[in-house]
Amino acid sequence: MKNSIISLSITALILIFASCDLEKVVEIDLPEYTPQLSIEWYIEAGKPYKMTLTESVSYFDSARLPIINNALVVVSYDGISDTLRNGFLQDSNRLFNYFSNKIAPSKVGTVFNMYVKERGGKGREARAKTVLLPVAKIDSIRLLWNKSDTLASVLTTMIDDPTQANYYRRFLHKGDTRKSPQSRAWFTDRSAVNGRVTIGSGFNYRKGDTVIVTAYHLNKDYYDFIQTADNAEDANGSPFEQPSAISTNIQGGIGIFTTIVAYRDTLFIKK
Amino acid sequence: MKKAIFTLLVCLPFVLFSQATTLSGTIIDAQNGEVLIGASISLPDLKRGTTTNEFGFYSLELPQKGVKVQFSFVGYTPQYKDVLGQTNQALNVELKAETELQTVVVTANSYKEQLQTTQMSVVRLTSKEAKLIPALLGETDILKTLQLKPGVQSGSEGQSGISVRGGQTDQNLFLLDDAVVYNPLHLFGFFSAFNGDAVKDVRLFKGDFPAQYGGRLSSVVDIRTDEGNRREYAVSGGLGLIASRLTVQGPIKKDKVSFIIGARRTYADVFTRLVNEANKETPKFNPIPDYFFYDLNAGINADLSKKDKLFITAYYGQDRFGFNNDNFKANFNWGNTVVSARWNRIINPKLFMNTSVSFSDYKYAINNTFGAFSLAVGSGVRDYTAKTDFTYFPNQSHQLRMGASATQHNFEIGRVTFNATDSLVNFSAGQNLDGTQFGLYLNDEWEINPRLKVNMGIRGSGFYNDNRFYAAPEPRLSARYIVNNRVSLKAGYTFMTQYLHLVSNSGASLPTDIWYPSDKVVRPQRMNQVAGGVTWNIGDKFLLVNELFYKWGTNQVDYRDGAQIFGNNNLSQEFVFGRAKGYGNEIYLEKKTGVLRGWLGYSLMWSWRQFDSINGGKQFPSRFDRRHDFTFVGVWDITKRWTFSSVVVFSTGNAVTLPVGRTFFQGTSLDRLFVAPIYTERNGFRFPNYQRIDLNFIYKWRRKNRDNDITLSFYNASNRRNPYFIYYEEIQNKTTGLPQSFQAKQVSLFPIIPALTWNFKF
Repeated sequence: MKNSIISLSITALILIFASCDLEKVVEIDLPEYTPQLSIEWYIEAGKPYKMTLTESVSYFDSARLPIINNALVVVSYDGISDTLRNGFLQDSNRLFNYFSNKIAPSKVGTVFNMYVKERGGKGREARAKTVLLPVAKIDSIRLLWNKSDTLASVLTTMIDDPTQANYYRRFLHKGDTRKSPQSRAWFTDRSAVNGRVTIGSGFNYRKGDTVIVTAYHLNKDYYDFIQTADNAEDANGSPFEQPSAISTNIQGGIGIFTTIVAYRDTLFIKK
Repeated sequence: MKKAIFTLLVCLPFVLFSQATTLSGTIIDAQNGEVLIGASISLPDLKRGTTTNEFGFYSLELPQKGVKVQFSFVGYTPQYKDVLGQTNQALNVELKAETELQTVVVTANSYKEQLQTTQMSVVRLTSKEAKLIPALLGETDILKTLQLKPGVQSGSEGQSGISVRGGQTDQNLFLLDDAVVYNPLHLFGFFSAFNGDAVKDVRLFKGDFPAQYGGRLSSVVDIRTDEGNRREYAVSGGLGLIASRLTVQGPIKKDKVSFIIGARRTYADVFTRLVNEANKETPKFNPIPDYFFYDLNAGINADLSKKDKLFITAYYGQDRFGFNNDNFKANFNWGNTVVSARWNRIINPKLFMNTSVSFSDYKYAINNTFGAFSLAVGSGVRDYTAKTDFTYFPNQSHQLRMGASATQHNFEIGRVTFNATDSLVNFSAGQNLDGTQFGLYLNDEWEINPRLKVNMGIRGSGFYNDNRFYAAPEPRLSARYIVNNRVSLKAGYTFMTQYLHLVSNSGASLPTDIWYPSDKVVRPQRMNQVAGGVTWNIGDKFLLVNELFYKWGTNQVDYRDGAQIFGNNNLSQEFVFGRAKGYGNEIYLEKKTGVLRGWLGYSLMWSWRQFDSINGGKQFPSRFDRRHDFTFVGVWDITKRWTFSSVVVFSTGNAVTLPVGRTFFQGTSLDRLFVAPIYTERNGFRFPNYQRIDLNFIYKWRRKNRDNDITLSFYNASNRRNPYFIYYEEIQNKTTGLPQSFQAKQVSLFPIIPALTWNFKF
């Protein structure tokens, strides 16, 4: 909230001075940048493997990112290995350049290892490890109406295991999960009370709406990745933010290798 | 250092028992009866002298025969007295100020004093001087004026927060009449919290810290407020572009008891409320947030007897930000409350005591309601301090200071409460911590011979928190050698310890920053500094000071990437620790006499930080690393009525962190796509050089015993676009909406800003 207020003030200042021609394009002389392997791989229990392998570029280089198509990409768990094959796959508006037909196991606690080696070229290697977490169960979904009873906030309460630190993400869709969620939230169990953690939403829902709630249980690596990526993005152009490196669990590259476990429930708001 | 302490202890008994006659007293302004700080008392025939302390008191040993004594102060007519040195004498002197419309006459005594003193690395400023210098939006700002001195910088364009010799902004100790002020800023740092009308005298120590000061690593800003006119009622004030000021002062009992009360308030909110009201019915109109700040200063000063004085001062300053619409209400308030009571006693002509108790409270509170939810965020720190200082003048060769202090700190850290009206959500977090800080010091200024004078001091500091006690001996040592009657050489070493740390993960000082005490994880910060220099009095009209410094510190504090500050009950885990060092040279040329006066300052400086978990463990420049910093301040009394002044600033651009590389993350199926910036070197880029020219035209007149002036100022008169920040922009293909290329854009904050201010005094 403090950032909202400060951002509001800064935005107001910028708007005031924008009319005074206080913004201009400048040349930045960037130092030589060594591209790194950029990996994004979300393993979903019971679904085939697919991942994206590119490389980062100097900021003002061509907008199109180089895709690495000549790499060995292997996932392994419990002594079982699977080599992903190179090729383009489109799914839900996302592009992948390595995939497999093998199905990821659903056993909680399974440890996955990733190995990527660039064939030829620079011969770069990357490694990472992640674990499949139990589902974050939704305890209840409740509505909180505004004073005029016309708009409601959705309160999602999840069951939290107090014996360990937990990290969550919650999406709310209005009717259709194929569209972008109307509300996104990332949070920890720091606010848990009696083994329950509750997250609210904006007052965006009306009588007659169908709200689909998706709760994710996240690995700490993924939570840190999301948080630091948000910070890094927010720091672009804000004199009040300290730019920070994006946290990664990829050794030899940047990005994220993690499991995704989701729990979904639907709420029909009566008319 | 052990030798120095040993020498001090060995010499002490001898100096305590020496016998001589002493001239002592207080020097005051003849017009208002207020004490003059730093006035000179000299024996021209013997080429010796001293200055008044912060309470106007002096003590000077006399020879047995009669002697002529000169009393002088910058801007006042000097006085000469013939004094017989056969018995101890008390002599209070009143000096008459030059009137406002006269050309200021200044003696060269202040330069001689700067030549004589062992103290180096100090900047002194009076409110009178600051008022002649152009100011942003016409609002005289003591801290921004200090930024024009070499070695003192702002964090970024227009900011009042200061960095001294490359230090961090939380490493400055702000004292207002002996009480700590935790947040010396208004309006997110664009204005200082100190009303120029209420401030009398400011001393900024950049190094060579006297032993009575402790608790911060980089600087001490010692601010003294007006005590109140003891002879007649007086009203002063001003009407400016953004704020108005009014100060009333006068005697409660003539020459015995006086009061002063002053207030300042901005009034932009008055107009924004009118705009909001007028557009209340306009569809899709977004109300303008309400913002204003105000501050109040009050003081009572009383002579309890010929030897006892009591000063009570209070400061209350608040910033208030409010935003309301149908669904969302936000209030963000922050400010300081400071009260101090000081009791001076002249125990005997050689021994002066000042004992004070003070209270300081800083807090901020954000309260939001959003539909049925309410969120409150707040933090604060509250101090209760007691301290006593003694100054002993045993003979002409020694001046001892000793004292002790204790401060009880109460911290409210990152308090967050989040509730819904039907109690479905009820969350709170935050910590209440406390700590006690101690200080004990002894200092001797010893004139070994007319050429060589040393200042040896030791401060013992300690901090108690969570059943642990942290302590450190802090040696202070400096020396002055007079080469001839125009040149002196000086050198000094200081060691400082800081037990309180400012938690901030932003690039600027914000009111939401949190003060955190040392504990088993966050150890006290430490800093060593050596400095050496030459002071050259050029022809009585110019003073040239050149100083070299080198400082190095351990346990410096920063924050891990992605640190979570709010609602975090384990905040100490967010800190990372490292080292810092800085070195440079500062040149200062000043002319205080004549119709044309001012100063030139130049500093060449490096400031580095090194943390294992930042920048890959490699050393990186601090945000305040400025290779070159040049300032010129000129004041020209064109006629008795017209004064023109100008400020020219040129400095190396700020060190900033910009992304070097870029990648692209698609997220999970329901996520957003985004361009991820890749940062490599912390503070690895430089903004373009900073340049600014400010102009001031002052017209003064007197009518019916009322002094008036109209000040027309131009901030950034050349209308240069100095960078405030740089961001990268994605240029999208107009047809496909896909990223096509990227470019950097620079945003500036202030174009040329004219301001008109009317000041009055009667």
